[in-house]
Amino acid sequence: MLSKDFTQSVFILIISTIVVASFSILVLIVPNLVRTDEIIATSLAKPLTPLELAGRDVYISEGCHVCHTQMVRGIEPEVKRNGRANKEGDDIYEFPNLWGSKRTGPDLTNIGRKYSEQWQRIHLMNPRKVVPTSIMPAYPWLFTQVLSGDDIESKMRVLRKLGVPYTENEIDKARLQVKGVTKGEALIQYLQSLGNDTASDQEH
Amino acid sequence: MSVFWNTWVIIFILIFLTFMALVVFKYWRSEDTADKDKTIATFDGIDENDAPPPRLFYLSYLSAFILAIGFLVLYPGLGNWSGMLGWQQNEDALSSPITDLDSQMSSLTDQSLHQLATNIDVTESGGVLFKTHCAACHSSNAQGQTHFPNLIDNDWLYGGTDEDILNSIKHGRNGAMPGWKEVLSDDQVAKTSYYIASLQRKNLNAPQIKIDLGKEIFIQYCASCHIDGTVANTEIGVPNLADDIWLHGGSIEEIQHTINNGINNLMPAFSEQLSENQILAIGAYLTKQRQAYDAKLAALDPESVSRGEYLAYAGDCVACHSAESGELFGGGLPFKTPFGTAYSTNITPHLSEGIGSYNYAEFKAALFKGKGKHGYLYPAMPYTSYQHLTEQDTQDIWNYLQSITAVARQNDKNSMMFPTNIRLGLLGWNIVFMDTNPLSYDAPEHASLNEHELAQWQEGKYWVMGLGHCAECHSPRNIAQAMIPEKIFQGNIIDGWNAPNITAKELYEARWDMQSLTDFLHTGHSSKGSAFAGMADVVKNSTSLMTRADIETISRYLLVGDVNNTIPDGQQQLTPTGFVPASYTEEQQNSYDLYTNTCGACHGEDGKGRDPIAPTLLNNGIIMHSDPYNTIAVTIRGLSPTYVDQERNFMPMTSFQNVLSDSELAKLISFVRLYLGGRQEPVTTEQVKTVRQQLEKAGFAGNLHTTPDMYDNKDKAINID
Amino acid sequence: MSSGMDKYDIKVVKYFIIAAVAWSIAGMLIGVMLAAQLYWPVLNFDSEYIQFGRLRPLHTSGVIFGFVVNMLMGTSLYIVQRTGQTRLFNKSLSWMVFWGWQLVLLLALITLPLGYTSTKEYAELEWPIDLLIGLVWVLYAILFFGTIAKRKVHHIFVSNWFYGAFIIVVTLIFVINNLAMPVSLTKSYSVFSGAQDAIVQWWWGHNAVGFLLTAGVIGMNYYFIPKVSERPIYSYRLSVIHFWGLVGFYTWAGTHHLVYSSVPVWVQNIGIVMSLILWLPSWAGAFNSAMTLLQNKEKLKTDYIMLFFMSAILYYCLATLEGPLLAIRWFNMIAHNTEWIIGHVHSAALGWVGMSAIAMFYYFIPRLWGKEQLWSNKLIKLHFWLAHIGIALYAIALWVAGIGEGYMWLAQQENGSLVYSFVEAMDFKAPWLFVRFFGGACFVFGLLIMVFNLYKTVSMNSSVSKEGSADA
Repeated sequence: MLSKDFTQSVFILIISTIVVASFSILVLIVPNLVRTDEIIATSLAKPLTPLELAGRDVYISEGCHVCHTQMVRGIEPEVKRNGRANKEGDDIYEFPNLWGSKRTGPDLTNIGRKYSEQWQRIHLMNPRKVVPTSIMPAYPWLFTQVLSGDDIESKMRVLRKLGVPYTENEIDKARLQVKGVTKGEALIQYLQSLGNDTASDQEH
Repeated sequence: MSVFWNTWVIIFILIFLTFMALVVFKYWRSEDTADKDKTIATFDGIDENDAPPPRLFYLSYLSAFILAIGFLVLYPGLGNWSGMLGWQQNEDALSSPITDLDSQMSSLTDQSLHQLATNIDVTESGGVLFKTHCAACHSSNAQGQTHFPNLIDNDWLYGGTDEDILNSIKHGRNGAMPGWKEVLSDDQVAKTSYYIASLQRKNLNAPQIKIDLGKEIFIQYCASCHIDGTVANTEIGVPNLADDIWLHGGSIEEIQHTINNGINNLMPAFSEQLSENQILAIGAYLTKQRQAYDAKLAALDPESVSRGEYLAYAGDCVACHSAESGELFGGGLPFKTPFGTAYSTNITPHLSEGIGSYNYAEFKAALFKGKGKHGYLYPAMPYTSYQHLTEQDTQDIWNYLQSITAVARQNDKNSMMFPTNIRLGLLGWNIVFMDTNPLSYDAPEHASLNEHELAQWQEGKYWVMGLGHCAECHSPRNIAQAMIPEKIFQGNIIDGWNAPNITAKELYEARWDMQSLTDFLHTGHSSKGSAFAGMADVVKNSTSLMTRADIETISRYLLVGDVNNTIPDGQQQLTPTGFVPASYTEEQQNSYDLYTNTCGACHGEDGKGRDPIAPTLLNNGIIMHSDPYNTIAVTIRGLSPTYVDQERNFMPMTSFQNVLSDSELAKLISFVRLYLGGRQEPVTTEQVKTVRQQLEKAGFAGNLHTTPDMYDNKDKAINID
Repeated sequence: MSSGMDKYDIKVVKYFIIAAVAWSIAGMLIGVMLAAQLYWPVLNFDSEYIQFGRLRPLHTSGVIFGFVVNMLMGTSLYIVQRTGQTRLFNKSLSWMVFWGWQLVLLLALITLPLGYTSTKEYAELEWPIDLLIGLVWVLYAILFFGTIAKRKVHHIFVSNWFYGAFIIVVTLIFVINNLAMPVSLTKSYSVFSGAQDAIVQWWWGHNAVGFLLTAGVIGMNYYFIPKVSERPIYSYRLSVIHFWGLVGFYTWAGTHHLVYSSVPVWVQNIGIVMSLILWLPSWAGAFNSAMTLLQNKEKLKTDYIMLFFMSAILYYCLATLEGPLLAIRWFNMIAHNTEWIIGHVHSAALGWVGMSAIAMFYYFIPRLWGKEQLWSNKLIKLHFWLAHIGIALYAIALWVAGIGEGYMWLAQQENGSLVYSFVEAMDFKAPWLFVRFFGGACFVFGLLIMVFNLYKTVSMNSSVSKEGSADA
């Protein structure tokens, strides 16, 4: 005997599916989205400088997040290896999050204080120069492609609308900071910034 | 979460779970209506039966719901409810350590690094910490990489006391040198680089005058930090430039790059990322590594090392295994073969870049069989000759190579064409072409030698056929680049020069003798001319560093000959007359004028050479040589000074390529060979043209410059800005 | 079958199936390339366009949106007609959906290598393409549900519930996850940040798996498995339980991707609980399909299409056991971020989706073109074993690599110090990454054999169709 509900009416099929599937939205999504102020109150995060922001977009565009996580889980050995564990407020200005899902290369959450810019440069040009068995691609073009800085203001304005506290003054000066810098240098500035804002919150 | 949202979350979770349970419950209650053989509907020919789900399924669902509710009571899940067990997620761990580094450290009273280095708990912790936080720069065994210092060679930029080392880790270091691009001209930078390189290397291809000028520039601009380059200053991290440790690369080009662009060498501070005790543990690990390396060096027999050094230079390892004026034994010299370019490798004891991971057996396999640890070696490495070394000599060389400074220079990528880039193919080459029979030291049948001469001949054979690997350059090769044994020493074209025929017959005919040949090999100069091009490098790097007695044995062996290399009975010797009245006759006047206007200006109107301008042409081995190739080539290429002997050097020779036509050159060379070399047969215009075209095609033609600009732009990897 | 064909709109179905086959090859070849890059980094060729970071989203988009969605659109539009005994709701709408979707894929093929990405996993495309996807998706929903609405039979066939859920839930999750504020035509920022964004992203990420790769494919199989086995669907009531279990529990499971992260613990734990319960309806559904096949044991012994379906179900069981397992904290601690996850995804994607698709292609494509027999039975046998060897090598290699590196990352000495450096873990897994490359290559090679076999089948001269059979 066939049941006499969703299998008889396309309308009931659609509505009942939406209702059942929506429970997860109501429980997991909505209550967490309304907590932004609460999260910001606990946050040590500082907005990225224009150059770091430009570098972050290089990071995104090259797909660094495909192989590198930015999420130190709160487990002791993981903290020992990668530094301070992430807290909920750390990434409140991260639109979108760059936690990643695969650690083909090491976690980068706290990479900012570990290597010199020179090392980063050599490593991006050819990772195997400094890590012999590395399987990371080489990114030589990053050091030939130059940023114009033309879109940095609109990026910052969008982020300000989304909640990053950039001042008009910062946005005003942004283009000059970015213009003429290579993608590689911007990326390195971004990498060097990682973990700096939370550095004061340490326990070994 | 606020009370409202907390309640919201809990209510919706419970409603959902209830609803899902009800779906299953409904079918469980109506189990009796199920029948697996009953078809209740048909769609497009597909029947739907209505079998009951297995009982196990309902039981599983039941237990799942019970477990879920239980979990949500015991653990967090229902909003702000923290669970009855008080569980915290950061308590979870894979391993359960029984102690920690801090408590292990606190029980140690003597916390000097030397003492800590003996504590296995501390050094093991330090080892992993080092590999995790430091190895990406300093490499996993702490031997460093280019730009990142070796930490176990006892050479400390910022001091090597416990306090210095720990401070370096805690607070970091920043060694900054400004770039001089804007201040110094290219020429000044070049001269300064020659001076800096000359502090440690004797075999520099640069004239003393430029080195001296470079020193003046250095003193003017660099002395405030570097003094004269030979003094380190650990206060501000100034390195000693006179030792063989080159943090930022030691080739002329790398030195120039450093001078031009400066250095901002930063070691980050780790005090915020690592605890005091973790830093101590890293220090202890480093100390242990350093002690182990020191112990390895101390275990080497110094006599064996010094014998090994002599042998390594006799075998000319350094000339091939150093880039043009690069760090010694650091590799990087290109070998252009018909199949592409192969580069010599780093043979210093660096673990990852050199042969630090080799043991003696592996070293010997490479030296004797061309079997490297990472694949077969190209026969550009003369293992076909080195296989004849004695066990003692091999051991000595091995000991020496372990004692030299570890260079962090990375090996270059060979650009060999397919299929020669498949290393395994070389195994086949070895099987087909390599003669593995031991050398015979039986007295030669074709010559009668006294006891002393025989001893010399035998020892000479060992040098020539083994370490000296003379035949590798001086013998023709077949299409697979293997030597042809029957044609040993009959000469070969390399880099646009003829490595001359040095068979006993040729040497006899051209009147080489013990005195002249020994002088030539030992000093680069002789009554029969001077070494140039590749041979000058050999003399400079190798034979000039051997004893005269050893060189004499080599001369003996070459002059006497051997199997496949004998002097035919009744062989005539050449007798150059020098310029005689016949040279000035009317029919020759033209040629002689040509001579005086070109060669004669430097080599003298009599052709006997003029110190210190140009060597003799009369009796010159090259002029007398059966093949006029080099005589032709030298007029087309010109010649740069060799700097074999700073005391005795000749001026550069200019190229006549754009001055004399092929026919004029043919005429001139024929004339010179006739009177100064005793060679009757003339050189034809065709011969000159062929050689010129060859050289032009290979890019060797034209004024070879008098300054060593061969340093320019070879290393593409260093310019990263 | 050919007799029935003219009663329905078949041409667009053929186009979708061809597109699905083409994208399966393209997407998986890119996958093999990526696997090779992880072993031989030189294969990144120092090119910004094909380096791993940019190529990987093209692989996932290619197989998910190119291969699977084309396949699901094609089969759903076929099944909804046959089981409703009606033509498509609107023929030109179906062509708009087809060409609209191919345009989406073309744009993905262009923009991802150029580095235009939102970073969101399985939703990397930038906002203008997202808008196009939304539009095409709505048209597809109208077409599909419109056709159901005009069906000539009373009830809605089980396949169409699953297809329906696939269409509805993907709409929900896609829209919410992709909410972004544009900066320019090629750049936008997600409106969510940090931990909040992570919850949204993995709610999408896991449901993309759940409703594209699971619900949709289940829908397809509920039609093709009884067709191939020539037996009734085993249990109607099990399919109802399966359906609601899947739609209900799956949507909650995404937060198990965030275990031990900085999102609130209760969010993680709800994800874990729901993931574990999800195991039951999944296996119930698998049981239902397996019983449908097992009713025809004779055919199962000899027919490789049946065997492909059976293998797909077994891999479904494996993946739906492994999934809840990986949601458990103990396993997650080791497995998170490691190769194991990649292995798990591919057990499901190659084993479950891949084998289901292969079985469907072998059965459906000849019949779509009016043939009954495959050109070569030997080749399908060869393909069967290549696919199995490929997946087995792939899964085993990444189990070893993943568990190994996960353990090495976490192992501690007695005093709590770490035991291995990251590089040591990397060096450990290197040979296993080669095995994975080899396994993946085997699978794709099998796929190429299938394409060859099917091409020969379709272009065979004589049609050997059996008239009057109940076959599709």
